[in-house]
Amino acid sequence: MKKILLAIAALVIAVSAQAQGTLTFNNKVGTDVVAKVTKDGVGVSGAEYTAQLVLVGGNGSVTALTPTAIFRSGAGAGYVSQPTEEVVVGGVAAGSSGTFRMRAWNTAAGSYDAASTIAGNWSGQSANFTVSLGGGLLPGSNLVGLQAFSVTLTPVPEPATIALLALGGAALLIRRRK
Amino acid sequence: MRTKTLLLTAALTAVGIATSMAQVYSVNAVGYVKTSLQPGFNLVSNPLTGSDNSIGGLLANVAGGIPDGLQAYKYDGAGFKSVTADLGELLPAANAALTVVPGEGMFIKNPSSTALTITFVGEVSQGALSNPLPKGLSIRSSQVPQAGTAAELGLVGEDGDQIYQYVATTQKYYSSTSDLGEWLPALKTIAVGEAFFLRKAAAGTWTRNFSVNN
Repeated sequence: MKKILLAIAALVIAVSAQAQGTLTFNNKVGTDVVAKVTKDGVGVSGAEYTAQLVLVGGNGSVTALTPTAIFRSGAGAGYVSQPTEEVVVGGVAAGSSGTFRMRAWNTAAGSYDAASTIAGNWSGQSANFTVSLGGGLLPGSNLVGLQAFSVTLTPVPEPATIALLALGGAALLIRRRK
Repeated sequence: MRTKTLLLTAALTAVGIATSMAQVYSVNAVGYVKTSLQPGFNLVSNPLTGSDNSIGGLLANVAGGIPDGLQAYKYDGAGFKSVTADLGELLPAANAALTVVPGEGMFIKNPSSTALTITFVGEVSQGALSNPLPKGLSIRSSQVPQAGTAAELGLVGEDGDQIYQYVATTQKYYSSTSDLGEWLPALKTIAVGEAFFLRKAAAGTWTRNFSVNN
């Protein structure tokens, strides 16, 4: 009976080890993680900017993770206001490694994709980093390896570029009519 | 008259000394703490020094007896050592013998769908108390049965320190990080009988000077 019980206990522990991995979303944790997000050399601050972690797949695909975070102000500008809940990484087991990237964009744009493609918005993302995840009964891992990055302005297309696009479109239309 | 005055002075002095001694040398404070164990995992502390502070000894005070399937997990800095209850036994016995003293903590998994109650019986820790805080992760708790945020309970955070409170009702962590002299997001109250995970950037000590008279 004891052997069966111990086997069940071992199975339970093994199952809990398969729990989803978790991360603590904070880009400043003592000296372990110091990855400031800047705009024109100054730390972004407040709710004007949103930050998010994304899971980077082997084929380069990205999966956006929740919760997102806004930024601190004052001396803490450039660093996120840590969400009260940990980031749960679906599909990656606790204790396993995953590759991630941090993104930031001006909140008004609505999303990173919008901010990075629609002119006049600000966005940026970190280099990829790999961490071993917490989870199960253990707290989430810190973002060790995350590097600082800056947000940049998505440029407005130059008149010459717009003219070229218009010419190309017109040429296509003419060709179809013929 | 002089004799009466002398006797009165002597009596008052004796009372004063007795009162003074009573203030300095407090009697031991013995009591009990009831802690609710929600269904699922609970991160609990042992708030009193009992006669038996082993996991087995502490779990023996679960109201109604220890249900089959109840489990306890003690973290040793590298991983968990677990105990499982079945047919009135806690196995493996070696893990059931591990102690959880005031200042430490353990997970208890309540396998039922309703809350259980565990009662801790023992003495309140008093005097100059010292709780070692290792670098990295450890399960810690207040050494005295008091509620409050970790800061209110005398835990001084260094930049990079992190507190993870396990919320039994949601089965998720609430975490705070110390930076630039403040905890963000704000610390939550730690209940009597509750433990938490602490991640220290560097080893330290959590000191208290506590008396039940204060």
